[in-house]
Amino acid sequence: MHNLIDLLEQKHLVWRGRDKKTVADLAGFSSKSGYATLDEKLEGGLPQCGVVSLSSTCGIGELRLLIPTMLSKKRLHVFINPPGYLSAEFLHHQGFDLNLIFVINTKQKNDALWSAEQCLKSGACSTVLLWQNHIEVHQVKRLQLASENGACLQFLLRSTQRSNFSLPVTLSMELAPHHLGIETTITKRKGGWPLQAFTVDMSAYWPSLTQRPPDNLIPFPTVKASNS
Amino acid sequence: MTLWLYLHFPSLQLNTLFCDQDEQAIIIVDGRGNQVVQLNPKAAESGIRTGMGLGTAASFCRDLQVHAYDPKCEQAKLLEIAHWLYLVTSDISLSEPNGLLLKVTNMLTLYQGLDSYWQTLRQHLAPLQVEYYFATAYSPLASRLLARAGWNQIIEDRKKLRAELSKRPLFETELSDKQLNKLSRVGVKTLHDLLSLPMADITKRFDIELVNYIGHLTGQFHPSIDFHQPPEQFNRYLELLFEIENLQYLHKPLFKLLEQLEAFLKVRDQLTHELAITLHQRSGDTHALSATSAEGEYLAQKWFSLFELRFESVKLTAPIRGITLSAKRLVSRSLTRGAETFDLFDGKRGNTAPLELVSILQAKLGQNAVRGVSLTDDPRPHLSTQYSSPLSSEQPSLLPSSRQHSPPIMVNKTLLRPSILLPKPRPLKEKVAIIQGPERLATGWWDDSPMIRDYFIARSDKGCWLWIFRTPKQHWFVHGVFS
Repeated sequence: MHNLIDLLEQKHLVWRGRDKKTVADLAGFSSKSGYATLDEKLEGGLPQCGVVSLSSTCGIGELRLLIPTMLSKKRLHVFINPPGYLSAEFLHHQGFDLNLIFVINTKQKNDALWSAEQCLKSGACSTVLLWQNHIEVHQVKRLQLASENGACLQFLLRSTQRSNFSLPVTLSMELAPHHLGIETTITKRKGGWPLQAFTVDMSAYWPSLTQRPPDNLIPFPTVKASNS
Repeated sequence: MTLWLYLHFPSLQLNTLFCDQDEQAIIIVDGRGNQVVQLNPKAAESGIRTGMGLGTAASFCRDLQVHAYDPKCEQAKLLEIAHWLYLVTSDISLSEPNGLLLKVTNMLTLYQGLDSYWQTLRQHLAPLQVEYYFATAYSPLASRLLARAGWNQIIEDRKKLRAELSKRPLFETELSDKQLNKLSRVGVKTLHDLLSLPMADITKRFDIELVNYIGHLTGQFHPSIDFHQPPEQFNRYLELLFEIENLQYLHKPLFKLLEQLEAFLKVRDQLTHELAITLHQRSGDTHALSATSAEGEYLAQKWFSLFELRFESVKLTAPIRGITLSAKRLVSRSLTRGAETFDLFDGKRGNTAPLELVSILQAKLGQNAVRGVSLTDDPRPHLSTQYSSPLSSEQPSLLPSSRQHSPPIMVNKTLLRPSILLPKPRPLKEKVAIIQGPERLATGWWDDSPMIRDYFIARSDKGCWLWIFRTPKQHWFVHGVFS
């Protein structure tokens, strides 16, 4: 019996889930996210390529979570259909080379997917960020293939709506607000189990956008100041 | 004496038509004389000969395709051939409507002999797929005479050339009917007869034109010849055999034109940034299309895929008769391609360069859908970001000084700015807690949109980080999110 498993393992027909080296190799979760907790939980970091789906409400810091990863890459960063104007000041403060950034705004939904695919497979980009809520399984598969082709990481930013089927992505995270940063739940990852919610502490990068002691809050004026 | 080579293209217009010439009998008829002037092998098979009337030709073949003779079309093609040949031989003179005269003597040192010169020329002509006759001689007129007769020989031997020339009957020469008549009356039927007459006798008996002709033919008189200098640009027209209504069918002829462009650019080591296509419609209207490649490209395949994308958004109103392809800007390839570098260890991933990617995206989505981001020194948040043309500063720096002149934009790094600005500030409607602020911006007095705002960083109850501001009238707005 034992011999049989050894034999199957040698022939790579049986794969040991606990074998950390294999997990890291398989999906390439080796791109440091910049946040120690996240790297530790993902046993290495974010994937090198593939589709990473992030679902969150807009504005809790989902983009800031990705900034250190993006900064570590040297090729183009493409933003497709961001929910507003991308601020050059912000990107400049973060240390981005603005020449490496471009924004695509499309009128039709399929154009957005098409441009994402083109960017991914071109090999000229290192990350592609796509804001799109509805995406289908075969479309994700195409993006997945293109991303492997061009060694490019695709972030799919969606609002929090639970879809009833799971998408074939490399990594899927649900993000919730937390006063120290972001509460992250890994709902799916290649070569590993889903993980319970944990907190990613962002205070090192964004001291002003975290609330350490919740007691120094200034209450928002409920009574409108008189104009007199 | 200089040696001349004459190329005679008997069916030039036929060769310019885009079609499979073997399937159907095609003739080209000159409307004025109602004569068949050109025909393809299939038409010849069915018994049609040049010089026949249209009615006679039609009676030989049932499904005959007839085209009107168009001298302009031939001229254009002749120019095209001349431009193409200019790459391998220097002195070319156009002999309209369907001949080219090349000065051989000057090229012999370069090509080390007539044979290798001719080999090069032939190989160079082959891809054009045109039918031609050729002949060499020691005078332009003689070479033209021999080529038109279809002699098809390349030799240097003076005696042989003279003998061959002598054999030619007089009606093949370019003498007028009147002169021919006069000559035949005195029993001169071939060139041999004419050339054996003493020059003094001819001068006494005939007019000066004949003397001139003989002098030019034998090479004793030196003709004045204008040599053609091709311009450095690409502009070709392709006449379609069928009227095309579906853009899908246009792909093949377009690709043919693009291949010509590729050959044109390749031998010059050049790239082009912009191509314009004009579709000539039956109604007489033209439809212009253009595709740009920010990086510069010469490969037919790459341009083709750009045009395929452009075609998706084109609607035809009438069938197309012809296409013109012209290249807008030509640049030397070594100038642009040098800047591209690939990391040795990362390897070359994918095979699209950034500028090329931008061209692909812009071809489909439009110029304004793909934008780069640039920073301005305006302190007003909504003006400090400007969407510009993508990768603009990555383009080959033709004017490196221009960038150095503009001073670097000073940015206060201690100010925290939201990653995403709303297109238009929206009124604050939710309950928020102010975390940081205020930061007062009272600026913009120099133009028509001054503003006074107090900006705060706030966190909403839902956990969103917002950038909000208060106007002097105590109205609150959300301007951005710290996404």
